[in-house]
Amino acid sequence: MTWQPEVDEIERRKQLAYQLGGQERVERHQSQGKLTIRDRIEALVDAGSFRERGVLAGRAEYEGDELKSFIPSNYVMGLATLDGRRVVVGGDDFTVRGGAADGAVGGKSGHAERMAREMRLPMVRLVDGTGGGGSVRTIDNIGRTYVPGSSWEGITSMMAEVPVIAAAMGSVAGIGAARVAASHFSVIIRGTGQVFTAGPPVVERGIGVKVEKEELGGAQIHARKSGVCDNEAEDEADAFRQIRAFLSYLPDNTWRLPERGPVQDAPDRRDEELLSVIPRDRRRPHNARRLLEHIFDRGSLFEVGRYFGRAVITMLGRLDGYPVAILANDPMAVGGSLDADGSIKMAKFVDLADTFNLPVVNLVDQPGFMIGIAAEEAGTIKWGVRAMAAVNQATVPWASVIIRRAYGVAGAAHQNQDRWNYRIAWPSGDWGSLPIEGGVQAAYRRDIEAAEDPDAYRAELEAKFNAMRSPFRTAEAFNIEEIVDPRDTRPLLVAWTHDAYRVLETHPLGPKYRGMRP
Amino acid sequence: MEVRAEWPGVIAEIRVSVGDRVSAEDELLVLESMKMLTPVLSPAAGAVQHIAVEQGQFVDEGALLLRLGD
Repeated sequence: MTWQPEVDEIERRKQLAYQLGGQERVERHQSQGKLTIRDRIEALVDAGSFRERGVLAGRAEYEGDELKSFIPSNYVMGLATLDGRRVVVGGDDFTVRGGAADGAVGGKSGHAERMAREMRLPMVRLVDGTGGGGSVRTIDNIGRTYVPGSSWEGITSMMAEVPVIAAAMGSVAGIGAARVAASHFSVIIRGTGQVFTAGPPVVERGIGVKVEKEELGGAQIHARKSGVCDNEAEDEADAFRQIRAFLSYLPDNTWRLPERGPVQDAPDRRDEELLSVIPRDRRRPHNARRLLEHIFDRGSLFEVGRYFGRAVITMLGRLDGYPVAILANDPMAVGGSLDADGSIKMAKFVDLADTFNLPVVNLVDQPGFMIGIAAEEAGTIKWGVRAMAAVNQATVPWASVIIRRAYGVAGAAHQNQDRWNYRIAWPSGDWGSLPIEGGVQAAYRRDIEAAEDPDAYRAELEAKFNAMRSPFRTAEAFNIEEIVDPRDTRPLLVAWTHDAYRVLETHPLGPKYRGMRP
Repeated sequence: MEVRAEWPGVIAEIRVSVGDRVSAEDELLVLESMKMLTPVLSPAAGAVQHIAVEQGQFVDEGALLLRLGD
């Protein structure tokens, strides 16, 4: 006697699970341009590498000993390789109970997350669920109500341990939305992905507002206004491409260092354009993204959060193959000034770099915090000091290149001033507590008002201070360590990156403790 | 389609006139904000139907700058 009948039963039950919510629901799902969950996983990971766990989980009904019906768990997960590295991947099956977490059976998603933590592997969440146990159907199933008890400790702790990536691939509410937000990188699919604390029916009932799901929580809200999602994707394939790209810069966990990637560019490349990229007219902005391409490895830049907090540019990139985290200011957005959204984005990105031991390169062109009534209402200084705290709590190697402006408190926050950092400046460097244009008026108001010709006197004072504005005077006092030919920036940063990775070899690894932030 | 100010500033230059056809990413206006002359780019191709601001005018975040049509 063998166990062949039972072995056959395994296969039969797998086939039942692969039917998901049934042909009709699968077809409806696919007609919206969405892949089914197993097709999504196949499209994301290396071909044939997905080893599913928990495929037999589901709700069965029996007639005597005979299996009469089977509704599979609507959470599918397992181990796979992605670009040759091990990852844990899990996602919701929308065709069963709308992906609601109470259809997952037996805490499968929690199992996947614990597996990622214990195995110290990246966690990829393909979220497509309409809610948590929040469905009132649960009450009917168990005959009682219950105190909500989503386990959240693990979700929080794992962010200090392994990369967590989330994609919002359908209408995602409640616990699903929380799982998207609680990630190192999230992507929302334009048109088909929506994220909200509660969807349109609950919104209508709760606050009496009729709203379409796309206008309530689509990409234009969460990738462009709220910053809940870092990036938007054109379609599912684009989302998978972005997930693979983001992961390529990160180590498997925080106990390991990032690995050197492809070396695809000459380390000593000196682009001529860098000599003229900063306009001599102080009021003319430069193209910050083009500037970055001249410095970092060709084709290595991956931008995170492009459309949120736009005054701050955050990118992952490589120098001579080594992953680095890149901060820059965009003078074409709010003049490059640090506003509340930019500060929120900056703090998260610096934390990401510090958590995964990525050296930081900061291309500084900071005119100061955003000013005005709207900026005050947005809490600019509160979010600003949080970003400053993140910079000062970071312990990874840090390089600052002051390419243009560094003004005020926000300008001072370009690095931890109490640590040694590698810092260079371009000849276009321009710095101070207050810019001369407004600063003269503030400091000499009485003298200017008392002058016979106030405008002429102000102009005279400004001319006097402008004459002292040369960065060479600052360098004489060693208040800036070095002024360099902008064309040398890449070779200098490549050399620094090699040093930084040597330092990281002796860096304390694993989860980091950071004290309370203001 | 409405083009609105993404941050407060002063209209430093208006680069288009009513009736002009523009492509996506064309420079429509220049907004001086935080002492920086920042271009306002066209979000899409179209024709300029209405210009709601004048040179030298202060605009707040969200203010209507111009309207594009087909």
